[in-house]
Amino acid sequence: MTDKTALQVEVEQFIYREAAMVDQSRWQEWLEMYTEDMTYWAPSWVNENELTSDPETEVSIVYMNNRKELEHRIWRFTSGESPASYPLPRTNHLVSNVAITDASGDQVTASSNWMSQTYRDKEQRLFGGYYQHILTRQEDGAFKISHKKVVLLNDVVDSFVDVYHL
Amino acid sequence: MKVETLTTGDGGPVDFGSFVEYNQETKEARIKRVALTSPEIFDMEMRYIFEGNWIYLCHEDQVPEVGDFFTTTMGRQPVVVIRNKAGKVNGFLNACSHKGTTLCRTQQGNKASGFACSYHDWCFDLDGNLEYMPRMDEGFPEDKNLANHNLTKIAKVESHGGFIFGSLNPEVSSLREHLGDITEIIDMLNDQSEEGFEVVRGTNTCVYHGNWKLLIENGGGDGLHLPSVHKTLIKVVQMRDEELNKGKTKAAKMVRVDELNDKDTVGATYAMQNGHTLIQSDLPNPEDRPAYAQHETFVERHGKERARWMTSKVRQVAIYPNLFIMDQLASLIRYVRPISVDRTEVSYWCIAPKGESRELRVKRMRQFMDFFSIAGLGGPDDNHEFEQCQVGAHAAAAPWSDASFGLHTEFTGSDPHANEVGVHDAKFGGPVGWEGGSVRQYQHWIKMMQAGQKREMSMNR
Ligand code: FES
Ligand SMILES: [Fe+2]
Repeated sequence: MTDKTALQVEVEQFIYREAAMVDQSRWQEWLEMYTEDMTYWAPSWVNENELTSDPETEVSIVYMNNRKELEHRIWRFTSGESPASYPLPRTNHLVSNVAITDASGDQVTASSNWMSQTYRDKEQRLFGGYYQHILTRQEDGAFKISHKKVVLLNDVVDSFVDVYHL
Repeated sequence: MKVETLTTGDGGPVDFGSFVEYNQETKEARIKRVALTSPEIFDMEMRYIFEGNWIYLCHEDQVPEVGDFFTTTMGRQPVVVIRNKAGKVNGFLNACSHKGTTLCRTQQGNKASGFACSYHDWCFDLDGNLEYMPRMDEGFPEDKNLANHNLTKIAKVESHGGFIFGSLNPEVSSLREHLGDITEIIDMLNDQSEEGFEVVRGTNTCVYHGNWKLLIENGGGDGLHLPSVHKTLIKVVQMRDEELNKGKTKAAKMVRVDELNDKDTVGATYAMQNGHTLIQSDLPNPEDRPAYAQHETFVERHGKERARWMTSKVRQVAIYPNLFIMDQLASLIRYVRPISVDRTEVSYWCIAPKGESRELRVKRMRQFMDFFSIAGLGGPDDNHEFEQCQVGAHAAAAPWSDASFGLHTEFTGSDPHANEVGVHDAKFGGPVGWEGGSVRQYQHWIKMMQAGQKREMSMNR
């Protein structure tokens, strides 16, 4: 296996594992796949074909710039006390078209496409779009997510979305 | 089991007066839930309220230039709001006068050179006049009157402080009269910047599976649900505060919702004229909201009382039937578009003073998304409750919702706090939590439904 192929496989496996952690409700392990100073950004749409470009000064669907915020979010939706997230839906994330778009130093940037099938209250909801991951190699050699961008195509959603749908 | 029928007799009128019972002696009120589930009533609401009176359309900042348009609906009718050559905002049915195809097909856009229909190329100017059609000399005699084929105008389009409203029915009062002293609250937004307010780029829209009135009632004065429905938000605010103190997160400080309705904060819900409501209450930590940075300037310009309302109070108005202007945990427009009896589209637009510093804008955006995005920490829980209320409303053997909380504390006439800032038409009110706001909203609804039904019946006679 060339180095390039090995990296491709490693990145793919990492991204698949992230999806699996969500689908298997392994929230703590999911959380630990992120660096502490991570950013997680789902931009919102400005019009039919254009996304917002600045999470700091424009509207987003989700914007978090620290892992603590994700931790609080996970606490919230697993607490059983948020009506929107009780019971949690069953989710099934499919990720494909993983492509490494940049690799330099200890960082790899990868793009991919995703779809999620979710099910609750006898209703199926489908979401889809594309991801950008920036993975940073840690001291122990493993990757962590330092940035994740989620583009949601069908953004006029039924009722709401949360990170477990995306 | 006997299921209650809506009509009093075959084809007879609906007895809307029976939908609210308010017992003045026991101070108890209840509202009939069938108002949430009947498709027949929904159709009437569309005709009598959404297609028969003032409703909110969009913000001036969404159509800033000549030819800029914004598409939406009035009731079930597709409409387009567009700025003409003279800078005036017009509204038209978004349907070509030829075969009715839509003329504007995106949410926003620009048609500075007029509307050219994509089906057979009839062309209209920005005032809706038919200017051209292909092969006109072949198709029609020379004296053909083009004016018969102008676009259909929205009968009334007026705006106040950037908020554009329209009515398909020409026989309505002026917008100013319709809004009453709510204009003071709108002015308190616009007075925060010499250049006015803007709508920040990016939208958040969702559709909850419930009746539109559930949201209007909730945002119009349900001050009771905060500690229960939003308990996880309250906890997240506390968790974030702890982390901020430890320097562990860069997130913006949120409004301390747990202290929002403390016993000693000054606050009230008011039922205004025409079904509008206003909620005001002291913010526990106004210094963490972006407007507070200008507090001293506002004191100089607008006096102490008004400045306090502008920077340190929750101000939330529900402008009946489809607009919330909210300046509280965040600043936003919440726009309500009924789709069917059990489907309601809600759009959230963050609003901000033009020319705001980057630092304050960043804070503003975070506070907006924390609660109000479609993935926020607050809005989703409300929406889910509306959906479950919709399910419960089908339990027809229990036909009433209760709306009695705090009715014994209701005050009438004028309120000194509201008078401070020129709001004199707050005719009924109570401390936050008082459910009289819902009762008044429904009483207004009854009035409109009765008037609409009467008008329709006299036309059919
Ligand atoms: S439908 Fe518009 S020109 Fe024919
Ligand atoms: Fe709420």
